Amino acid sequence: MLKSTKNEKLLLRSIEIFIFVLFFASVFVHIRYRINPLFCYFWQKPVFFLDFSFFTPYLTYPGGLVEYADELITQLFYYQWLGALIITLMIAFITLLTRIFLKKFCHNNMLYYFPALFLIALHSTYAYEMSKTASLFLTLFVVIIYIKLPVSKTLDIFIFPFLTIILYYFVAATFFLFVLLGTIYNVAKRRYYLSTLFAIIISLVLHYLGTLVFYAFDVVTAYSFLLPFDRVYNLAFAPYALYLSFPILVAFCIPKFFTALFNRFYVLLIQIFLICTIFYAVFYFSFDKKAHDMLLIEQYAVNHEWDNILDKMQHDPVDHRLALFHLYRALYFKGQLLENVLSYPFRDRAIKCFMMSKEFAFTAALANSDFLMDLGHVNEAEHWAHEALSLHGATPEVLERLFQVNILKKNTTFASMCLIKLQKTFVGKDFVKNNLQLIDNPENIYQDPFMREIKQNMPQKDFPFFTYNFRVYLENLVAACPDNKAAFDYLMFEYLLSGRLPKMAEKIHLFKKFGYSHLPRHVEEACILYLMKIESKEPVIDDIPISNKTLARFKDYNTILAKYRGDSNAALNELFQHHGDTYWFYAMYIKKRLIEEKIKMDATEDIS
Amino acid sequence: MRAVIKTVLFLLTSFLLFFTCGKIQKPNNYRMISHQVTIYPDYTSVTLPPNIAPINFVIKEKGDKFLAIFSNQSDSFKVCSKNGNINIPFSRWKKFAANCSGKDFSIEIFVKKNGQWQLFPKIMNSVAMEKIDGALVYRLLDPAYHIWSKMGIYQRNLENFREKVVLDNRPLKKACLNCHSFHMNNPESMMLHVRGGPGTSLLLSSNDHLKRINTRTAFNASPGAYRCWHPNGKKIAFSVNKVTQFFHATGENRDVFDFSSDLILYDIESNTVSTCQDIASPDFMETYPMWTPDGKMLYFCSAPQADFSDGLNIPYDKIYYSLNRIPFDAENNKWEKVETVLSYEQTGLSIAHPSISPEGNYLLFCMAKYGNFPIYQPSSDLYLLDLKSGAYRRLDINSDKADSYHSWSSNGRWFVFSSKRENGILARPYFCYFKNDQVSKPVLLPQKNPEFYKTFFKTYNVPELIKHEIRIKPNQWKKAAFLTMTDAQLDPAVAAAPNEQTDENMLWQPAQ
Repeated sequence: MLKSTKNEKLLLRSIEIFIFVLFFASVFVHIRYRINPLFCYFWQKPVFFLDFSFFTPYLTYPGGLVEYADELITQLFYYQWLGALIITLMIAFITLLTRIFLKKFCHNNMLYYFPALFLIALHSTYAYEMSKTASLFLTLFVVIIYIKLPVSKTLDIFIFPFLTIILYYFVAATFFLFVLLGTIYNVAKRRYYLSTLFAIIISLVLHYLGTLVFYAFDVVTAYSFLLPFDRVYNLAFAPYALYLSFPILVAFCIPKFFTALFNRFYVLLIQIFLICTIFYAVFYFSFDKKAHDMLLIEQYAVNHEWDNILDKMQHDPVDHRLALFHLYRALYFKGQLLENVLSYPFRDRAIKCFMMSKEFAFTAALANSDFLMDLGHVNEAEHWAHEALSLHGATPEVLERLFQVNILKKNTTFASMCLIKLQKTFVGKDFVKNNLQLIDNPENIYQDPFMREIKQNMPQKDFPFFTYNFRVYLENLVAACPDNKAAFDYLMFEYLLSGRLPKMAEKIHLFKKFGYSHLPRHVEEACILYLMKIESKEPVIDDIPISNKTLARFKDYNTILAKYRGDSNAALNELFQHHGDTYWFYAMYIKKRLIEEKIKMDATEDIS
Repeated sequence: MRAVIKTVLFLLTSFLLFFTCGKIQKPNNYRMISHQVTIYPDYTSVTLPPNIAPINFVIKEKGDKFLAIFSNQSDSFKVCSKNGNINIPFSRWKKFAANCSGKDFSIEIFVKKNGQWQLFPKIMNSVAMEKIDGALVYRLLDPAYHIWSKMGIYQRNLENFREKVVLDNRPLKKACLNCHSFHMNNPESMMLHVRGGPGTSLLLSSNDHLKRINTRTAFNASPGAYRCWHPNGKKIAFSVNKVTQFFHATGENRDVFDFSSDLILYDIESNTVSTCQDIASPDFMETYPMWTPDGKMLYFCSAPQADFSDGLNIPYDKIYYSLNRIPFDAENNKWEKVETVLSYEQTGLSIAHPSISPEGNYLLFCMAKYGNFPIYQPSSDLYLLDLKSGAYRRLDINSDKADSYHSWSSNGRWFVFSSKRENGILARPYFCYFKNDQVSKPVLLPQKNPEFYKTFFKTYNVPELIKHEIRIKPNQWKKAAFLTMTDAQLDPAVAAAPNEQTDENMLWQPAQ
């Protein structure tokens, strides 16, 4: 009988360990391959320096140290496997601490996985900060220390409030949970009421006192700092469920709810089933595909993987303004901007998304700086790198951009400041190693063909700009640097999509200058419309003939239209099927709709 | 407790010094080097205040060991280093600097390279008799474009390295804080502006009493901006500006101009705003008020009102400010007629930031190619006008980058100014000794870590010297920023301005 009980215990323990390993292996895979910590890094843009002067400000307010740890850890998310490992281990430790705590109330209970499930849900939101998990871990750690401490009733009057205050400094408002769990334990197990009352009173007033002592805190911040209730997550209830799960689990334990109904093995099975079901639900519902895909596009853009962007946007398009912005960059770099843009989805939004309005650029300042580098407008790239500096702080990416623009502007003093800063980060060291020589020889930057092109495209003369009117800006840029192919292509793109065909026609001769062997397809298509409008008899513009292929397609387009007696509404489906990727279709349906919607092209982005 | 910590630190430092370089004696065998040693910050041939914090520096020469020997006629001490960082012991420096008051001192630099000591030519510096004011107040912020995030007003004790926050925008919903100002270098009378956050207002401290005021009136839809306290401490002259920012395609990319501006006078006791046609003319843009120490004259900059009707062709580079002044009778609140002190026609440049020395003999100002925002103009330099003779000259202390905002110490022997000479982007505070019309070489504000500025990405804005540290605590300022605002009243004699737009749509905005 005794042996049988022992074997059963061993079996249960083995099953428990197996489930634990299996569970967290799955968590690791989920975080590494589905969520991808690198995307958290991109989203959160952590700033961290191995520098005492960077560290000291974090000592000056409650929760500062945890925030410091958060910045450090999140920068490590740049290394995807390491990030996944850190998140997995942190959740695993929290699970173990929860298990230890619940064991004080009941045995053979696997419900201690519940907090882990909600944490996985929270970590699926890219904006969720590690500091919140870290503060929860610290809090539970102190809870375990506290309940393991053999303190007398008298001593506890000091110990409980003392730990409360200490914990407040480290984890800020998260220490509420310590007071809650400590209270539950003291009331249910120890029957210590006075110390508990003290701790509760302290927990209520400590925050307010914090606002008086710690100047940076207002009342709301003091009562909520490091608690995860400050934003909406993919699973909106997850933060509340996480914190409520602790007292609820204890409540389940105390009456031995499950064990009273079933035998232990069945209890285990029911619990495993419950956890697996919720686990699956969490994996399924907490995943934000749109954010994931948008960040994937951003990652491709950062790495200049233009083919991947085109492939992704062709086959699994992402309906996000930033994704479209990078799509047009990819098309430019692949020489398809004027050739194929109308073959991609969301073509009605191209005119608004190929450049960033000021407001939109505030949400993606560094991406805007990237685009301005593409254009060779180093001054504006610098401008938006500085906006990114204000928005996100001195992230490695911001510092790298500031380094580049300052090398291009021959400001090696500031460039070297960027390198010194980057040397103090985890992810910037390689950049420093590869670029240090540019401080002494800034001209060497032109060994990089991309930088050489930027230099060639840099404006030769100054022009002030007061508004964010795309067309005016690009016209000025082309005037300031007549050899700037990028600016020319984007200007033609703007003319094309906004229907300024006469303006485009004026500059048709420049295509040859910029190395085009023939007019891009959409330009040819637009030229046919322009030639019709000016009643030209020959399909030739500026001595450049329109290709037979385009003419044949136009003939076919008109044949279809004629079939429906010119009724564009009736011809829509067939035209879309055969010629949906042409400028004629864009002009007839999309641009017309844009005009009908009273989107005035001239003022599209003039938000000065 | 503090004493115990200090003792432990002292013992620890002594211990480290003993084992790191305490054993290094002045080398007997060395090779003389002919060229001047490079040190950062450049503390060579400078005049220092006797009360300044240690001038820690780093020797920018290659070597394995470094030795700096500080000597004057009666005193000497040495500082050794393995990495070239010369961190001067605080108390030793204090004693030495006090001893050097009014005298010269030298720094001998020895560098051990490949087992051989090298001696560089002596650095000769001097210490002035007169002290600099005890503290410097400045705003720290990122190089500002459209967005700001963290910013704050800080005070640095110049006698040591202690920097404290006066007020930063963390608890103020990322408000913009600017234009801190003091009544004759006195920290007990201070004002600063809060824009956005808890609401645009003026925070005013007078003898530990804090007020929050809305300086907008029916005359000025824009609140007070650039400011100067009247010497009687009862009035503040403000400019009210409609500012706009734009960008350049090459060179310094930021620029600013005013669509319009006027001057107003705010009376603290009566909480009244007044003005007159001469300082608020529709035909001119008046800005940067500056009182003479006797309070009988207001200097200011003024440019003819520019025509902005052609939105695509804004004549930002055709706006030139002259220096004007207007007599004022503080007793009766009466203005007389404006007279031009220094016109654009005379200088060919545009004037900004006039600042009169405390004894009233000199006026320090900036001149740049155009406009009134010198910190964004590499062409901006500091000039000195002798108010008695009317002669002005460009100071030798200028650089090829923007040299801009400045403030006199209360004894008129020192002034501090912000300059972007180091990297063209971030302004740093430099101070100069001024005596007998002569200005000494600028000294970069010393820091405990001599390479501090190499990694510090904030810009020092509006450095103001004050006699001692501000006593009002940050929490008190924070509270004041949320006080109920008192609306300033418009003097009934002043007509309301018709159809003027407010500046609610702020040009610069906080990061979200």
